[in-house]
Amino acid sequence: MARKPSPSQTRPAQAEEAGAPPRQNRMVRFLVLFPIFLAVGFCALLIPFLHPAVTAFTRGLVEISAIVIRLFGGHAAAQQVILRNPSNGFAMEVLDGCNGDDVVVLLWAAILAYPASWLQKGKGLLAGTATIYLINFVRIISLFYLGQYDVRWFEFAHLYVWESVFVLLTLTIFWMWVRRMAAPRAV
Amino acid sequence: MSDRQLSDPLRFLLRALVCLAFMLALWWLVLLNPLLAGLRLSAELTLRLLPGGSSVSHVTIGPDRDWTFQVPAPAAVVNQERTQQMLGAAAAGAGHIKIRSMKVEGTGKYPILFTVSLPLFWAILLAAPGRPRLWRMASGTVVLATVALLSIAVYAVRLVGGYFQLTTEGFPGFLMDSAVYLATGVVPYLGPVLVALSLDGELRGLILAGGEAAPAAAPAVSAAPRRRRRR
Repeated sequence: MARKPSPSQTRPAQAEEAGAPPRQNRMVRFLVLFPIFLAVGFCALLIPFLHPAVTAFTRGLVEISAIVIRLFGGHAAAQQVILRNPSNGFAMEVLDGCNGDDVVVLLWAAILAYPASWLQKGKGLLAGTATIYLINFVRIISLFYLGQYDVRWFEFAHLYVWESVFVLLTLTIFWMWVRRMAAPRAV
Repeated sequence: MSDRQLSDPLRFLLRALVCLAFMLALWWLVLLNPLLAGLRLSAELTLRLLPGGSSVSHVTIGPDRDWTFQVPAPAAVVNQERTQQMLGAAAAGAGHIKIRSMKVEGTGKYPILFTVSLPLFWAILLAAPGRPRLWRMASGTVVLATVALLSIAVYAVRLVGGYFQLTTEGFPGFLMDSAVYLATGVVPYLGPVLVALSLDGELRGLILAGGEAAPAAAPAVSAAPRRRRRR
């Protein structure tokens, strides 16, 4: 699978010497494009026209969470965007902001704005999005159990802890992607 | 991907998570009440700058941390036929009803949420490589506090709109819904990252450079002393 990299792939600095835009220009381009892509992404999330698709995605997320919980012996039932424990009546609603879309928009805006080939961007988008949604399952399931234990802790974890962790995680995923892309490859 | 390539981002993430845990505990147990008091005072002073708001504007926080905004009633809304009907003008037969101010109450959850950006911002700066700079902390805190104040304003406008049962349809409704969504679900979490990256050039350079400089510089530094030793 791994091809021997061409000399231009081994060091980004060499590419600059060969006539590619200097690093500073690329960073300026990133700083201009990033807020634009971020705004476009959030507009897409907010447009009523796309709202049914977002809700359908959230519904799927709740369904899969219920299946995963049942696979591990827990009690859970999905009802639209509500995850319910039939044995004790606890229920939590997964809203649009809780489905991980916000941080995915952040990651996509950063990756799309960063100067890289479309193949590299595609890999970063796929891997990053998959990682975020995978961890979002952990988040939803952990909140489902935490809510049954104590509603105050649920609120704290939901509003303050997990959301902050997700933003840090997204920043780290982007940083890892940039490093992987820019690092010299082994020959 | 080698361990060396992964180490910097992962080290940052681990440091940031530890700092976040400490900062959230500090924020929740010690700083939250003073921050809310400061936010309340700022919100009240801002409301007093509104036309007709100097004498009637008050913002109070109840024992359950719920917020009450006493704000000047917007004349354009009060004079509407629908609002007059809602206020009972037709039933009372009293003609046009005038009100100077109104009280709206909102849950304390959102004002608290508007201040959570601060512990997250501090955690990012403390976890960033290099020594934390006090001026960055201070200036970022001021910026995020200002953003929190704007979010409170959006929240208050939403509460007033809800009180008058203003329509949430059409483009104005979309704008209002978007502003509330951004203020309550996006800005408190994304704001700290963007402010931290704007202020901390080292962290920004490290992330955006993607380690371009480090691999090239490392062999040169390690090779130089060896040559000297041989001589």
